Amino acid sequence: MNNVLKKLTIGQTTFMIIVVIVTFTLSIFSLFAYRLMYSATDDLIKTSSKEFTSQLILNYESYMSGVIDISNQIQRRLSNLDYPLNNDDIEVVFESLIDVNRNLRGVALFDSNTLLASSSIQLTQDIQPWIELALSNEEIHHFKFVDDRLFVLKSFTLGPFMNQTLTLLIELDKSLFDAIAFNTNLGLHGHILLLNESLMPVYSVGEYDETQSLSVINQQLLGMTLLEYETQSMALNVSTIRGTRWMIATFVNVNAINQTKSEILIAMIGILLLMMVIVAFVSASFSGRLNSPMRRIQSHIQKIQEGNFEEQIEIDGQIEMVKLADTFNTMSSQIKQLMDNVVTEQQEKRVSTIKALQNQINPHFLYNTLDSIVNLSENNQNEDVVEAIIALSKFFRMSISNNQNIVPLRNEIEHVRNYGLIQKIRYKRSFDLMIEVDESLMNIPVLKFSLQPLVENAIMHGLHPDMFTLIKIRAYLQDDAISLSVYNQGYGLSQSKIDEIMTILKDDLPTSSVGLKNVYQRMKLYYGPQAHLTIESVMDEYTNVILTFPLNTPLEDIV
Amino acid sequence: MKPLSILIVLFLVGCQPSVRQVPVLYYDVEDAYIADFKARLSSLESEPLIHIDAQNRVNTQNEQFMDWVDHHSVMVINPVDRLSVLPMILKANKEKKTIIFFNREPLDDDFQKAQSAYYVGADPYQSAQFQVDLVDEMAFEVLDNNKDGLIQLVILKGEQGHQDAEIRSRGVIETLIQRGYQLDLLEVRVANFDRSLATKATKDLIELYPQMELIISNNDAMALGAIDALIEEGWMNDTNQNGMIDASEPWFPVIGIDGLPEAIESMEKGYLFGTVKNDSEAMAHAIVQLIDIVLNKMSWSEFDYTIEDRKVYIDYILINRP
Repeated sequence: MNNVLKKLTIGQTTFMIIVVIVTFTLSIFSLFAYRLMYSATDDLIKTSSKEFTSQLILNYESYMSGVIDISNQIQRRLSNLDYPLNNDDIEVVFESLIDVNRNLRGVALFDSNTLLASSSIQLTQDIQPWIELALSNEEIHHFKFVDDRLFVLKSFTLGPFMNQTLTLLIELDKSLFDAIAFNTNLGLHGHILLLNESLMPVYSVGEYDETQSLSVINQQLLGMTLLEYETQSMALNVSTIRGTRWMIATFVNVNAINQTKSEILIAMIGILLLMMVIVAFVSASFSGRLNSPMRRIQSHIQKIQEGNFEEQIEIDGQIEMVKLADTFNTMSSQIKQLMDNVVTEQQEKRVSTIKALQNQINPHFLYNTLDSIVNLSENNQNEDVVEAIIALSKFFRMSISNNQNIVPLRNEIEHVRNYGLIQKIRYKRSFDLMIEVDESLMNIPVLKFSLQPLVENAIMHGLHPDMFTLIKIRAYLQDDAISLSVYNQGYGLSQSKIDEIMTILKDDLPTSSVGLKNVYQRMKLYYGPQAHLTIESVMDEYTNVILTFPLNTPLEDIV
Repeated sequence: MKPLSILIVLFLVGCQPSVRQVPVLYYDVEDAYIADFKARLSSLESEPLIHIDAQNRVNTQNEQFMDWVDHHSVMVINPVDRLSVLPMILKANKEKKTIIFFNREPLDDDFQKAQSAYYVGADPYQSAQFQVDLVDEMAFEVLDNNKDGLIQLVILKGEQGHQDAEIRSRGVIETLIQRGYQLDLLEVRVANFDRSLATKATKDLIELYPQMELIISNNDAMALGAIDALIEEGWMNDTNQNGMIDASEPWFPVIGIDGLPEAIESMEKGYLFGTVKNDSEAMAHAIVQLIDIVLNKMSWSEFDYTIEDRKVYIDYILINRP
């Protein structure tokens, strides 16, 4: 996860996190809401189906209790008749009841299988089994549906004398019974079944598949359930009807209500998707707000990489971004400043190096030297001429040939020796150059052309016209540094003069005395602050200039 | 980890079923007898019970049955309609539950289909015989008001189709005849075991049959209802306002069944002639013992009552007039 996140931009990560959190929250919320609505819908279906069934049952029960009341009335009236029963009396009872009960079609009374009396009854079938059924349990009323009629059977023991068990058969118009469920809307495949004690259908409303209906009723037996029936969602409710042994099963099509369930689901998914799209948009724009300044800063950095320090970056947006851009601008202008400095320094360095070189091939020096050689040859000092020309040749070769800035001390010493030789000829041997350098120090690297300007100064300014001057060059180790000292007897320098020289060396102002300043600046360039130039002097006695270079490798060889 | 395990434990504890009560389904606790029975059942030391009232509606009881059938392995049911118990029995068979029926006896046909069911009740025929015992205690001359040698009888019948009502009504007639009474059965009037219905019915009967000499009711509530009507019509009259019917004051014989406290009070005040007590205490006790037996907390040998074909018939108690 972390690795994946690392590969993404801040904006993408923010976007992803927001989308994941919001999606998760929304999904949980939607799931809960849907569960609630789902169960609320189920509850609604169950409640309404129960209500419906309960009302239907009440209606059937009230009808049946009316039927049983008629039967009880007849039984009571018959019980009140004089005994033994007279057929005419029975018929009078029957007819008076039929008159007041439009529902009542006919009545018959049997003693065992013998018809005692009847009124308007239509018997189209063998009622022998019916009478046996009634007699088998005379405590209860038995009901039979035939075509459009409902027959009620009840055996009872008559009157005060208890020795005669009679069976009453009542024929009723079924239309009122049918009317109970006539206007009920059960929906497609919805139906009502009345089942007898063997769980076989005795009455039905609506079309149905007997095998399927009976199988689910047998499964359910009692109470309420939701099920699939002929691809329709049905609420099945099984109960009983009071006063009868009937079970009643109602199949109510609840597809419509169930459909709202899927409609709710679709609506919720729609809302969820819409919300997710909105969240994606919002978080994308937010992450863009984070991302675009970052991208601009990034491309800006790229420009800087390519060396373009001129452009400044302007950002408005989140405070952090603005601050970052400001800091970045400051930084880049500082870098630009620093780089400009470096370039200037480099240019100065080049100029000073070139000047150093130029200094070596000072035409006056060449002219004066050649003039001296001419003098020598005029005086037939041939050996001296050879010596001088060789020294001059060596001096120039060293000056021109080697373009390294750091050379072994040996080379520097050799260079100074040649220079000294040439100058001795020119100055008619009025000074002596003494070199006191231990052989073990000869290979130590030192700054090229560092000694010659010092010796030149010693000759130019140190020589006393009336005196033989000693110029002494020494080298010695001190701590981690090597010191090269050029000592000359002579006028010496006052402390104020020394200070003045040191000031001139250190400042950037152009000066005519380029030799010493050149050495000083190159020394500082190559070695940094660890290199020193010191001037010691005692008036009318000596001047000693000491260069101190650290022994470790000098700074980068720039030129 | 710790808070998580505590949560799990709490969750499991939360899921644990509380003490499971045995559901007791009553047909209607508005019925004074059922209310009394419920009180007796509650007062006994037994498995925890939960009392559920069907308010005299079959469909309601069917729904209640379905709501509670999974609650406990045993259910006690006082059916609203004894003809309607078959689906309950079949369902109980399927769910391997035991039903203890009481007060209203299922049809034998249905009862035999039950794999595990009991019935606790009383033999209604015996209550009829006991009512006739009460008639026997009355001087015939007092009873035969019009001196025609016949007893002008009205029977207040409980519910049509209610087994007790049928058998009590028939039993009274049969037993009276057996014992040599000459009967003029004026009417068997159905008043659904209900006091106010009985009051209405009795007013009607008084008008219809001024020659009426005796009311035998299938229960006390209807008997008290009849007495309410008789008082209103002046057939019973506490003329001296002493709160009692004295020997000289107008009085009419009414016999009930159940031995309700109100009936006993009425009897002590001289109104009700007598009642046959349905021994609901013993019945409740028998039910509680059956529950324990079904739940294997008691053995059959400890059962205090006679059981035959999974049916327990509790003897009635005759309550004489003081």
